[in-house]
Amino acid sequence: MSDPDLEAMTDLPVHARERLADMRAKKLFTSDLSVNEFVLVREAGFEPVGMVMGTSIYQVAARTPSGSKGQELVETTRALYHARELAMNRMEEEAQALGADGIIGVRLTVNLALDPSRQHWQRYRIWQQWARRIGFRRPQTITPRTGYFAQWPQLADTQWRQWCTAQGWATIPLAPWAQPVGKASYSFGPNTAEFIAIGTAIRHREGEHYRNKAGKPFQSDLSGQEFWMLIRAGYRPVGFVMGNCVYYVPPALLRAPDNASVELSEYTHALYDARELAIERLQDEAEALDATGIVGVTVAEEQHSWRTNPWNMGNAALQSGEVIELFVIGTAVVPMAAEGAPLARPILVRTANDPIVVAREGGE
Amino acid sequence: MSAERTRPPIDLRASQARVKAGGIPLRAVERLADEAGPDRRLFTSDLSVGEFLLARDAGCEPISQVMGSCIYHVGQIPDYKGATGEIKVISDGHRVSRRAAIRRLYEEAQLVGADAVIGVHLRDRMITMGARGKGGDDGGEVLEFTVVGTAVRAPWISRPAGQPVITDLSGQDLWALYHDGYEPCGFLFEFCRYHVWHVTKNAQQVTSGELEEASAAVAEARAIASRKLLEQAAQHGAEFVIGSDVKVSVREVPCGYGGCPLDDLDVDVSVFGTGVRRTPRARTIVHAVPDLILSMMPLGRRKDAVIDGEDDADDVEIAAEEATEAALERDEAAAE
Repeated sequence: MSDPDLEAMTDLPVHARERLADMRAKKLFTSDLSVNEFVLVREAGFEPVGMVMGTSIYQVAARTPSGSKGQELVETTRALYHARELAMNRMEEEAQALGADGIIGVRLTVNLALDPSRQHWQRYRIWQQWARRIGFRRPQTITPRTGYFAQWPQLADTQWRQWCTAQGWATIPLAPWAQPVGKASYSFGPNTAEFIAIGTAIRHREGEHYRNKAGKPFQSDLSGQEFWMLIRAGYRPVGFVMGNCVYYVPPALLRAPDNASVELSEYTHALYDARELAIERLQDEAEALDATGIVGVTVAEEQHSWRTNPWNMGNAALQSGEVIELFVIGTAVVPMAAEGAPLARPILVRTANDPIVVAREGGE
Repeated sequence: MSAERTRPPIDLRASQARVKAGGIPLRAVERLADEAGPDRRLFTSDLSVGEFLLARDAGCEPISQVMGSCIYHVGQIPDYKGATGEIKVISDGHRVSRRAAIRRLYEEAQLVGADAVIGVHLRDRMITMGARGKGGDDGGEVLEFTVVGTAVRAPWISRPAGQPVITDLSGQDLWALYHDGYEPCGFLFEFCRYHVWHVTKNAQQVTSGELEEASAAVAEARAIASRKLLEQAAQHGAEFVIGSDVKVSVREVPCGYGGCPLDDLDVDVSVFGTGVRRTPRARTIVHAVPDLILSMMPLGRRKDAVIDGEDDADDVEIAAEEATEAALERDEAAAE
């Protein structure tokens, strides 16, 4: 194993190593590119060499600080960043083992299906929808502030039996909400998520150098079309850069006198601050790669289930506050040495295509 | 974290005071000053590749991604009893929070010396719902309104220096306007909540026919919103308005007056648009009617990424809807 690319593989599972070595030897490629993407990637002078992925299962401890100040949850921020980094690094290693110059069409997703409180919540929703469709009355004791009915499993069971009997069924089958969803929920413990990165590794046909400063394949969430356009215009991607910040906003910041119409300026400040921290981190990463710009920056603001209360919905924010992750991600680009061909002047056309929704999971 | 850099801590109190006065936090000021400064090393933009290239072709050089946001508590309103008309508290809540967020976006753009902010994305979210169990956006709720766009240098837009123009047109739209000799001249937004008291009638009063009050309410709400929008357009000196995000929503709500079985109607009209005018001294280009084609590569604007379909943020909305329904059911039960 003298090839430095192959040495990078030692970290990967045995089966991944075998598969990659085999693919490298046989020159077979797999890819999740569409036909259009495939054609354009080839047109840009690249060949797909294989679909690559990396994954990391990570437990994120949720600790809500006391106090009435909004603040960053530094540990949680690091954990969520680290989990994604692990997944992306493993994907990178796979690409390196295939001798790729880069990875395009990267999707970074978080699989939260293992979270027991989320599963419980999904079941609750399934029952609610069913009961509404069948025409069962909503329990009058439903908590108006949260919309959650704590005794629902018993009520759901009664309703299901009643309905099945009314259908004339001899046996009572498992209710839709009682059926197992996905995998066993407690196998990894609460607040565990699977972070997955998937993309297609590509290599330049003539062996031109497209790796980034660190000698690693670049990553990007660009589609084949976008990649082609970027190369044509004289830019090349150097990396998928990201920054995040998990912020805790205590309930105190949400309170205002009932009749007042006012801005909650401390809350605004808290979220603004969180987003600034995330963008700073994104830019630092891009600067570390000597990029000149970042395109396609997506700012995602999401409530994950890393929280101490089982669900944070309805007006629960008034009791437990909010834990929000601001996650920004984008593709860092640099201009290429050779000036690109001028962009062909676009012409206005009336399209006869069906409307196309180009939805990529750029963020998560 | 690989690229974490230690920065001097900011003065939290001073930063919060700035936000309270309608400004942007200190950390944002510092970062934007860096980006506008002499040792600026990179641009950031939330434009897609196609948008980025077309925007450059239309003379827009991206500088930085900019944003503004506002979290707003809408005051509680008294019972709707007898109220048919615009509900000022709610309309104004939306208007003021939008204005504050857009004001911050504007300030950020000024700081980086931009001529325009393009491709502005809007996002609103209900953080908590109104507590009276009559539905979500009914007074007493907390709303978040966020705008994100890309600040660009575009010397061809005729604006006084230091007064960037904001537009939610995409890079593609802007490219088409630019080549046709038009320029954006202002961002317009308006919201109107119109309420109709007792839109449903008692059984003995019911006759077949149009619910005229309801139809009139929709027309009236639209008229209010468009009138204000036109005023804004005139202020910006626009020749016409490209309405890019126009939403009209109508929903039946419980009247909320102890045990009354009749329902009211809420009409929401929300409009966003860009005022456009002819660029002075631009040459007129007469386009032929475009060809009809089947394209392989859509140049359309990239949709916002679908972010983790199981986000909990929708839960507030769902809970609010359910609260409304529960209240309607309660009223029905009371009527029987």
